[in-house]
Amino acid sequence: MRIADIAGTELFVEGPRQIVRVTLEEGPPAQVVITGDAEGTATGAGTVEVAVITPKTPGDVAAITVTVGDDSRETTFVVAEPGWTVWMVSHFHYDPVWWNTQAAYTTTWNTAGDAAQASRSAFQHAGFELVQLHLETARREPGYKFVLAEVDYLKPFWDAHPEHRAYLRRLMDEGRVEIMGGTYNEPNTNLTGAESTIRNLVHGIGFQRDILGGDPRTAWQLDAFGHDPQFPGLAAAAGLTSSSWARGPFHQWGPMLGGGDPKRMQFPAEFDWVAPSGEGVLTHYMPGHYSAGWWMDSSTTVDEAAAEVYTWFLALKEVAATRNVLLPVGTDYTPPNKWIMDIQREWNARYVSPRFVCGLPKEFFAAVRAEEHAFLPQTRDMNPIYTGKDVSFIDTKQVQRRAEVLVADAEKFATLASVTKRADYPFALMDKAWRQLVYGAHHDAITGSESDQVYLDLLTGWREAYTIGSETLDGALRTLGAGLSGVVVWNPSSWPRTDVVRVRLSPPPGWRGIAEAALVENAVLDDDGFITEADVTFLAEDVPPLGHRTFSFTPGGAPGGNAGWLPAGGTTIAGSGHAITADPDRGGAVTSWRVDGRELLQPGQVGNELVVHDEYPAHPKFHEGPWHLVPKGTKEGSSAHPAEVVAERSALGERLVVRGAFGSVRYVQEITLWRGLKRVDLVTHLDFDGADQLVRLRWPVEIDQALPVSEVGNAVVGRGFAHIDADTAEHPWTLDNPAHNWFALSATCRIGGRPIGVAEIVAGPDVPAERLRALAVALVKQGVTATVSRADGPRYGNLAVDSNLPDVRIAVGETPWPKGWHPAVRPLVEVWVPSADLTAADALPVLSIGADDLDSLIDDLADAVVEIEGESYEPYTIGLINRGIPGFAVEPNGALNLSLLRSCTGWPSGIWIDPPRRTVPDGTNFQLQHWTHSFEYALLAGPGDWRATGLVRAGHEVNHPLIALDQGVTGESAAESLLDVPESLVLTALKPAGNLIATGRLPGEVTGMTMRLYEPHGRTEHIDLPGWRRTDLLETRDEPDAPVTGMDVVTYSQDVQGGGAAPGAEPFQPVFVRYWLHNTGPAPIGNMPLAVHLTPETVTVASSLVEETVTGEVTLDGTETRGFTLEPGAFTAWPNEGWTTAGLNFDGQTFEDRLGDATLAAVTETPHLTLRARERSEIVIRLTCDVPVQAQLISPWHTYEMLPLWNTGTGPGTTELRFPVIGGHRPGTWWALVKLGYGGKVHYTEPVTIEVLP
Amino acid sequence: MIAATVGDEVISVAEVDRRMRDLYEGPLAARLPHPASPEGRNLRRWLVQLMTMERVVAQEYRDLRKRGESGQTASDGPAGGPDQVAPVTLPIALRTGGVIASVLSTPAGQSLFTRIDAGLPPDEVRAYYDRNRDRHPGPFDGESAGIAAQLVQARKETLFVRWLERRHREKVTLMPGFEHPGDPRQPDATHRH
Repeated sequence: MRIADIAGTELFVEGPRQIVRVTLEEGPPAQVVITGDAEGTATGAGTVEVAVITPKTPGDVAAITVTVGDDSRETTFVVAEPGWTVWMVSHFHYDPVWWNTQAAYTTTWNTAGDAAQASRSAFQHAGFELVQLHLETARREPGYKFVLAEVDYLKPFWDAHPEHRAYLRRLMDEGRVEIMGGTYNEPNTNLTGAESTIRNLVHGIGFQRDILGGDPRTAWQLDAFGHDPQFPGLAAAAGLTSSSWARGPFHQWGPMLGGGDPKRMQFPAEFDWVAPSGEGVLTHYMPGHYSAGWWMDSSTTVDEAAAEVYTWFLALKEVAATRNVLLPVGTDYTPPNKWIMDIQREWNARYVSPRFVCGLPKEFFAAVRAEEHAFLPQTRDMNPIYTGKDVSFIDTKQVQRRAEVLVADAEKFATLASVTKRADYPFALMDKAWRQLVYGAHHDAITGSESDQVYLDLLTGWREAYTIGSETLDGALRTLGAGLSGVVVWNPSSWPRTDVVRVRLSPPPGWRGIAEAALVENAVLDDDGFITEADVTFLAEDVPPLGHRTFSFTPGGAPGGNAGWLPAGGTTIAGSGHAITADPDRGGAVTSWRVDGRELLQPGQVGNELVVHDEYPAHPKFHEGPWHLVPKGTKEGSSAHPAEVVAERSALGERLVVRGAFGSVRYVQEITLWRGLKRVDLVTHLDFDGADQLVRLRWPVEIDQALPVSEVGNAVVGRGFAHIDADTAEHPWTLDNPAHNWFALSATCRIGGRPIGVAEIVAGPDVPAERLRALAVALVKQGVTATVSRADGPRYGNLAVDSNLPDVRIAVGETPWPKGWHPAVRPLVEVWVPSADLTAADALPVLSIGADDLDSLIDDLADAVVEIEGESYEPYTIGLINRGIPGFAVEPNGALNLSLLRSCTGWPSGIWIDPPRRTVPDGTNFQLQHWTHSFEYALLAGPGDWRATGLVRAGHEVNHPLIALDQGVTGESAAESLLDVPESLVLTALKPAGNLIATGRLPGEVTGMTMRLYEPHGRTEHIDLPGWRRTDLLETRDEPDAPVTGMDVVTYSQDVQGGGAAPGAEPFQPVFVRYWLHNTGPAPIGNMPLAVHLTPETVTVASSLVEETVTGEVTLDGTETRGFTLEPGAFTAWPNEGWTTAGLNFDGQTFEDRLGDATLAAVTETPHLTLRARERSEIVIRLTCDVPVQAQLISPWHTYEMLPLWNTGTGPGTTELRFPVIGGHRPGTWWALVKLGYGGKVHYTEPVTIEVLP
Repeated sequence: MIAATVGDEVISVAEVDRRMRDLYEGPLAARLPHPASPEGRNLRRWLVQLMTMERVVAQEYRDLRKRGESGQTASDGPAGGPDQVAPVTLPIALRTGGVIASVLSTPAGQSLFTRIDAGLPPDEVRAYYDRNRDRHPGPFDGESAGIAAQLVQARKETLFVRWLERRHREKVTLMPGFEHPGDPRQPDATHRH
């Protein structure tokens, strides 16, 4: 007896001959002979690899006889398929910020102090070291290939280490490094507007292609917490051809967590990811996560490491669409893997299949395309992932939304000012504003997953975008409105609007009030009782699109100035078809909401209720906190406590004001019905002092069979119900989702009497992928995302694997379901339960059609209704519009929930890298949000679906308020639209043509303008735009004119002469060139196309320009100079002769690098400020420093008007920084502190309490 | 109670506790996680990694000296002469990882490191020179010694780490509660995206 074991393998040697492994019992080497269906011979001891040849084909079972001496066994093995390749992609995932700071992650991790080491793995390095370690490996190993991606480390490295430029260019030429991603960073596109995603692509491709000379083709969104459904279409429109990432369509760790079987996935890892626009890119989901191949690094022999790769191969091949497997070899901040090149050498010397190749994503995708041309289309919503991201650090999401809107609206009007008035366009400022939004869109920034210090750093970015947006908008409107008089109201939307508008007016002397219908509040009266200034709110009717209408006021009205809200008595308000009643005994919650006589609330339930859910600090099993919602299943609602309810009326409408408190919250709620507007405007002001709690706002409405839908970036999709009351220890997936402007209960599409929102298309073998794509696109244009699977494969809808659930199946071709409509056996709410598994054949209704009926179904879907004889449905819609409060959940009973605020103590809440650690003045982590918040939202309801209700426009309008400018209060009547846009489309951007700064060019005159539009309702539009030409997203090539299909995002340009380029400069000069050390986000204003850097050895000056040759001089220690002339992309260097500062003047700014330690002492003289409305005070910081100090005041959203000065600095020496504080009209308690950046170090001053009394 | 075995030696829980106590009484105390928290238990696991690696190094060094006395040479790793001493620098520490860098700073670790034989394949220096002329613009004769030294040093680091990790794997058995902190099966393992 010699034979211990016989096993077939997937291994092949030359021939190709398959390896059968025969394990012998201990003894001397022996000859092993295999005969039968396969034949081969080998000699050895232990495990002997016998190469066999067989006439059988892959998948067949081969019967063999194995003979060793006088021992003989009969067995079988499965004939494997040769020709496989494992593409080992060497990469490192890089977060520019997360628990650690931008400075540490970019360069200073080793010296950033103890807190920076506490959560660091031994193998992790800062960005500059990583690039250099990979470059060094490339120098030693001629076969080594690797990936570089994010601009956050590439731009600083390119500027600070120009000595590596030539070698990097050579590696690009040799095809050994792939500069890829095509985005600036890995943004969480489901938490921003689509235009932010587009600018992420513009800046990513601009840097990677134009400036570095790479050829990015693959979007590389490894770690993003879910994806905007429109992302693949935007990527395609930007010229990318593929994408890859690790989170979604499954949960955050993928189907293989805990040894899970990837074969539970319903479609192969390579698929056609298709957007609602109908465009898409070939995509690879990473079944084993983006770090799958990294962990072999801890193997102790090459054989052990290769065996681990082989194990991954066996698992990943099961879901591969072709004989190619992508194995990401790297994880967060990793150097080159120890074994990757030894594996390639030694393994491939032994086997011809599978080959283990150190390769690049572009090689993987080329190999995939070479083997297969049609992939299963997937419009599946790659969400929700990490539900905590929608609400943690909610204030950052609010300011981000507001800044994004202001920057987009400023860009529109500044462009119009440039082309109609020849005004100079602020290219550099607007570019910086967009880059701040792009930087903040990172998946550890806008997600709220960052540490406390990083949160403060990030706030300055959104503040800067907000400030540039506000100031540019104001300047552009003053230019455009020159010569107009009265109150000039501007409409940033591409359709005519009627809306309330609020403006601070200074009427002429002698006014005691306003005669017209208006609210006059917060009036300042002179000694004679005349108004000197006041907040005036009025209804601005019919303001032309992208244009203005003037309004003129006359004195009169109620004397005493204020004609504000007056007590109306009772607890009910009514108007514009609404009647709303609140109950003081039930927390002031709404007990009845009637619209045109229809009661919308569930019987016995109350609306606008605040519900505080208790949470774990971190998930008991996954140990994740800030980015994971972790409710315990216990909660307390405001309706259990009494509150004060006051009804008020004014010339403009009626409102309810609710005041209450319970548990950790004190709240004031306003519910306003404006005469002439269909929507209900609401605000909840909240003071919060809890910990590990989630505050939701609940509207338990009821519409028979209606399903959740949500706006995403430039599209609308159906999204399932959520389970918000389950204990996440047991049921980890609450299924909260992020909405862009709004979510609703509605019917985006229906089959007969059944609304549908999320589908599985189950295809028979007789339906090719191309035809399935047409069906998937037809569905998604009506808001129904779909997973396309094959009938013989696993079904979609098991929460143990899938990150979301379907509500309908559409079977096409040869499937087990008889043709026809099979209504649901049980109502959706009965099967849609926590940890649901909806994979059973009868769990959901099924529409089964033949392959021949596909085209007629597609035609039928054009109106979002698939007619079924004998079934009917009357849709009704209730929508909840948010202003930067994206997190929502719709309970199976229909209750709408908006996630207002969350306080998580789980890591990295409270982490602080650069001491002294700062907290909110009450001593708690900033992540706990212990200050005054205001949440603005609106409700809209009516018959029909969300299209008929007008939710897209309403959501846009609430987020883009009309803007009124005081140009004399009384004046001439005037109205004009400055741009003609088809009313059926939504304009999201109007900008000067081209992307000059992003692509390494210096801005000059405006020579054209570009607009971005999208179709919001899933209808195909034949639009005629004379004078405009259609272009790609990057405006680099013209596209043929074609109808705009449903939910398509399109770009048009026209040549038109405008003004020149307005200069832009950082408020504080000199600009410190190693800006990342001050944790200030992206590169300074102008994007620093010329960079001077100083090391103890050298002085370098490097150009990132792609066209201009620049001549200039570097000033050293203020005395000596060195002149230079730099061709595009070139650099020059001089030996450092002992200098400690190097300065450079370029384009109106002074840049400086400096060596040596710097010291700073700072004292806050004003720890607590208490003031009332309009009172003035100051934050005073006394400081001494030996180098220039960049000073940025940091404060939360809703305080910016009170703290007008935020971005400044001071020279060396002892000085006082004074930041004015102006009391606002809303009482509350906030905080402010000042970040001081000095010579590459940072200090955060003691937080100041700012208390505004009523 | 045993935390780990290293060859024929035992590291007791008491020893681990003592080292933990030293840490918690030291200057870093205020910044260390609570010992009963998952983070605290993982800190303890890291400490066991360090202690076992120190013990492996001590044993290897002892065996090396023994073999030296008996005239044998180490066939599976350390070899070479004292003239190949290379100082341990911060870059080495970064490339080799924290625990190994820590033992490399000890005389025993240094002594084992210097005995790593990192012979280069023939033509390696020439091939590197040819591929990296941007860095080595001079004639080959003038550049080759520097290139060889650099390649040998990099290779020694690689081989030393591999050798030491292999010896650690062969010699060390960790008891429940003292698993490698990065081991996904241990109860305090954290998946932090």
